[in-house]
Amino acid sequence: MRRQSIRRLLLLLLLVFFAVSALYAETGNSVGSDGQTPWWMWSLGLFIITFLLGMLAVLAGVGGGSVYVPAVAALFPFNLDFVRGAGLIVALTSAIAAGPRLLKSGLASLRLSMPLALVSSLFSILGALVGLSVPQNIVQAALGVTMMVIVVVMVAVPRNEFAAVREADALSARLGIHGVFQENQSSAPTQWKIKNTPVGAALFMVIGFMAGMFGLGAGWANIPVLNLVLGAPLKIAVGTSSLILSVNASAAAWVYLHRGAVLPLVAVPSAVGMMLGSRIGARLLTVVPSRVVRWVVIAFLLLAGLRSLLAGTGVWM
Amino acid sequence: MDVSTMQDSGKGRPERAVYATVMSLFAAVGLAALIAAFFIYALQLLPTFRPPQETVALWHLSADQLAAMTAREARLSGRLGLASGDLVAIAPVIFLALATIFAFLSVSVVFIRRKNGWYAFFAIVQAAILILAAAGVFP
Repeated sequence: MRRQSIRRLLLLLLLVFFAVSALYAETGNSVGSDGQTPWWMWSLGLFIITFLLGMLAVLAGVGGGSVYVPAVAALFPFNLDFVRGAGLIVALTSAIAAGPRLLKSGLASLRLSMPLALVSSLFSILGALVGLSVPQNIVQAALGVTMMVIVVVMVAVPRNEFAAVREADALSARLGIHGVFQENQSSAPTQWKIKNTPVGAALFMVIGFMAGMFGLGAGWANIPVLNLVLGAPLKIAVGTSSLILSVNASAAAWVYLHRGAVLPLVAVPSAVGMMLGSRIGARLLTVVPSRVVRWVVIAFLLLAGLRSLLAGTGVWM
Repeated sequence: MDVSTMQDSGKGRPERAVYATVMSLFAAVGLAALIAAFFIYALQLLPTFRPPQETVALWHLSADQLAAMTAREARLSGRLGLASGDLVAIAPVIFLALATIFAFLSVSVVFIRRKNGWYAFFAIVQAAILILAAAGVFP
């Protein structure tokens, strides 16, 4: 009975989400820049949308930072610069809030994150510089393509709970990247180590660049690379991704801050809404049909990506 | 309930605790300040260069266009482009972005004490990159 009412509540929230989204999409361009709509309505609307996004993103198993930029760019009349700046602040606050708990519980590896975050953050700065320099229609079209890649990754790439790596590669062995994996309290602890470290580092350069350029939280890419390419256990990959994300986001955020691309009116309601939504979403994880929500979010990302691509290419302004 | 626990090897623990402590301190203070500062800004308790309602009319401009317009208006009016209310609104965001710099500087001390050259190097270089970004070295 309780489960059924939660399903109904979720369905209602989804309907509200799409109704509000449709309303903003309809009215956004006409009233967004005339100054007639009270400013607090925009902030409130942003808070509600990001709250729902945060909740749905957790239920769908993607980070809120991955869905924020395409969703807000599609639904609100803000310039893409401010959406990307706010996207990095959203990703940063979420990652900083989650990081300590993940580290203390042993679900994130600092040693695994540090070399990868180092290369990734350099490229996120580069991505931010490029993203703020090239014409906006190109960024928007590229964002559309990126969203479609994210959808493909979400649909097609499997995850591996714990693929034991038999032999660590030379670089990770030299850096002492390894740990202990214990599935549950009754099972025996097992050593984990990683492979393909140079390939992983190269992939994190690309991920960092995209995160900086589009203001995206890059959990959608970090986790598959850590899990499938490097061979880290899935739960370690999820936790460590959050650490890497916090470094990438803060590195790129400085570039956006210096360029004046962070507006408190956009960034603060988004960050708070996303964090609260994620917390509620995490509590609902055990009782809602996350598979359905996942497909809803995938469809939404696909549509937002298509919208961005068409807007960037001038087909649908 | 299936409770999974995974840990770094024993060698990794001290720096992990230091990093987590610094991050949790910044998260707690930063998030509270973020909300408080937003209300100070929104309620106009401190003067701002541009009140929120005027910002709404300009957020369709690119960051460069808005910065250029603000600089021009500031020059004409003889005021600074940032008033105390603007600084209060953006300060918690800056504080949150500083978290990783302080976390890496703190763990670099731990790594140096433990004579772990590679990770001390990573932590110092990472902090240096973030400090350069914070200083606006990357244009």
